[in-house]
Amino acid sequence: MLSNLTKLSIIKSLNSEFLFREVQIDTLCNLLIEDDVLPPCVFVHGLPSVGKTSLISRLLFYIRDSTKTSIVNSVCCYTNRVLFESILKDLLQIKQSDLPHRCDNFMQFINVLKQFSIQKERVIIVLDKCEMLAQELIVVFSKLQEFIKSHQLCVIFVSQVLPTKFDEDINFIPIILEQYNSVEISEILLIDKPNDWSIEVYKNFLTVFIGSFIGNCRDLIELKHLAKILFVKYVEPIQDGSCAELNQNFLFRKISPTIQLLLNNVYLGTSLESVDSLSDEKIKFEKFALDLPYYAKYFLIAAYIASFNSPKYDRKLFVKASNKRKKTKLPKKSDNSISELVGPKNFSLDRLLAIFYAIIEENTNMTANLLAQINTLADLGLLMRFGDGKLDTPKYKCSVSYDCIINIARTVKFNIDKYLIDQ
Amino acid sequence: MGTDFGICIQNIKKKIILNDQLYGFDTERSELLQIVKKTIDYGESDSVIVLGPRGCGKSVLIESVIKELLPDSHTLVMLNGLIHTDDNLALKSIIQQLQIKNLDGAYVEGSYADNICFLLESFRAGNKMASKSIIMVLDKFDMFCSHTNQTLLYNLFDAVQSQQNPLSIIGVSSRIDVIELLEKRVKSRFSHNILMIKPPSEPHELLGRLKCLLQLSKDCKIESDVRKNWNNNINLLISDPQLQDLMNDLLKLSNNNTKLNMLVFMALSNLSKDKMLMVENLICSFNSLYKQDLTLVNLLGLSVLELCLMISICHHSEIYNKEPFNFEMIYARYCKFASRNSSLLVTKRQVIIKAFERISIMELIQPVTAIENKNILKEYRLYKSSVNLDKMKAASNLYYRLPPVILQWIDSNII
Repeated sequence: MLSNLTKLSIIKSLNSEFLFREVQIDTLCNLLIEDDVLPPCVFVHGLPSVGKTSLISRLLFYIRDSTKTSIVNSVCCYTNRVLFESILKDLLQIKQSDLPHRCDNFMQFINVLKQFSIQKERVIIVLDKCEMLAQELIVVFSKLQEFIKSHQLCVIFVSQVLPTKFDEDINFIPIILEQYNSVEISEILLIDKPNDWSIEVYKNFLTVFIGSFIGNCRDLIELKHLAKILFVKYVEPIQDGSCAELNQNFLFRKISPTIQLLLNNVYLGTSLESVDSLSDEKIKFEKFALDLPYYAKYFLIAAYIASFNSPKYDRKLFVKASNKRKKTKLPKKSDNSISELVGPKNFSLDRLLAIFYAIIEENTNMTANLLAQINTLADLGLLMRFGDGKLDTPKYKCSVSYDCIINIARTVKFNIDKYLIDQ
Repeated sequence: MGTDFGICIQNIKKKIILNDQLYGFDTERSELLQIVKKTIDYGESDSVIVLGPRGCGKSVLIESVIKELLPDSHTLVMLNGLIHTDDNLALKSIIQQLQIKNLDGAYVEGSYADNICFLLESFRAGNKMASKSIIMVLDKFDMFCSHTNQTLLYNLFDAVQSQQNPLSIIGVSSRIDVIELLEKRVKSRFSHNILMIKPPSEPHELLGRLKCLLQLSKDCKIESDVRKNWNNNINLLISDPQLQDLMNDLLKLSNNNTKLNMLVFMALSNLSKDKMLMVENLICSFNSLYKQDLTLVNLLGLSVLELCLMISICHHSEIYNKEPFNFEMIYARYCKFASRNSSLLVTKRQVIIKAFERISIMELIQPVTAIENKNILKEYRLYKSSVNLDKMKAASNLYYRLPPVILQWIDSNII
């Protein structure tokens, strides 16, 4: 009954590490621990950051004595050879140089496995992020047990993509890790409580925090990160003594601007240092716009106009000989016009130059320096260059958003709205 | 009760995984056996294709036929279209399996031309009476048909036709049109022996299979009273009307034997050692294996923002008749809703882009073109949705504490 005890203790410690996963841990342990017979194929599925990989690798860590395991992240395996050889290295515990043979295809992989008589051992292969693998490889791996003729080999697929997206021929045992709900998330975040604060303070903080963030983000890793940043801000008034520890209303009023700020930067990799600089984002952005040279800005504006207006309006817009009728006929730009929904269109260099000269007020000579600006813009990623192989007829597309171009236009006191037409 | 059924459970699990017990198919078996016997005993080459849907027991049938033969009477060559993805690999594997004793390493060197020459030479060198016969099993036969020029198939069938070394080829496939895949010259050399295998279609057949799976035979090394106890319990279990309903449900889902095996395996794994197998165990594992709606689970795991985007996407697909969409379109639709209904839902564009990206990572929506065009900005990349509005409605009704505005929105007349 010794093995039964270890199984129970493994289940117990896994449950203490991974909260709210009792059912899944039970099933996994029943399938993978202590028994001589392993299922051919298990599919672990769940949304991002619900603990799929960490749960599996922890479980395998506990049974590492009785089982040979290999955990491979499929993203790293850009060729089959990398995939096969890294699995072999793990399973056979040898170095790359000791591999008897190159292992480019599945046949060689199976041959090597058979040669080392892997059938006699318990083996678990984990393919993390298996959606990156080719469809055929997944089918083949799901039948590995049949090919090797071993009843002690199991392949575990881990993926955030639904198993139904793969070939239906795979017969797997699905293990579904559900997303945590808000109560569970607050329980889990409570584990990370900083040591020098009482549990009441942190609990109060979490109520505020989860209430405001759960709508935008249920990703545990991101929430953990945001909580860490926000808590520092949250306790500032308590630290400098301006507030009692449990004056929730006051603390909430203090923190709400920061919450608003962070809410607008979920998933954007905000760090504690950058929180303060985020608040004057507008200034920062204008700085960026200012950084471009004067002519480059006009080029960008011209490119934007060329991308979002149809060429047939060019004549009406830019020909200086005024004809009163035409202006009234032009439709006005409205928010979210159709042209903006399908994205920018290509334009030729000639059209760009023509519009550039039409909108710039001063006389400038066309010099190499001026043309170099266009290339600079393309290199900066503000314009996209389309080559059809010919050097003299390049096509461009503007890749800047409306908000950005408005900012740039404002810095050179140019009214771009006047030139944008809703088709 | 105190009796330990652990050994019973383990034995059955092993039986399921090894999957070497044939149930039914007596006529097909004797037919196949006859063909193979003819090759072995009289040196008459032949070819046959075993056809049948996935998981109906084709491989088990062939294995049981081969097991019947004396091991010294023939050389067995097993190929699988999944592993031997081109003629070169298949050829190397054939040579390797044919002369495994002469070869010291398990690897075959040499070029394709050398190898095929060698193989054909050896086929020609053999004769009807003196040579040992070869039985060649080509699993996933349809995949061999896609190899260039079907060179291997042509040569193999040609060897059969010209009665050189006794050779019988057994193709296994689940594609009903597999004969049509063959090139004309290959087809004319094939004997057109086709063995059709029919999967179980009646619940009582499935029950019979189940009984055969679960019962322990005498040659297991188990105390006889434990075994008797277990078998009695299985008999009781089989006659349970609930189980018959379950088999009916399973049959509606699929007649794949592997599904049944999986079900029993799961139920046995979740069984503790001192308990008997009950109907409840089977029903429970049936539910967890085949009844879960995973799309719904995924949708319920989304945040409110992501759910709103999914609703926008579904509305868009509904209005424009499943036309593809890009981020800007969805964003416009979302903003229209958010600004009209609730100030709480208005979020910065950058966060919404991230939410949109997350949805596409989960593959709830998929890019229209497989190859990503780097010249298209990500806001304008076209996607199509794999979730429909009905599913969204089901999800939003189950969603925990969804704001009522959103519920109204999803049901609203969208145009």
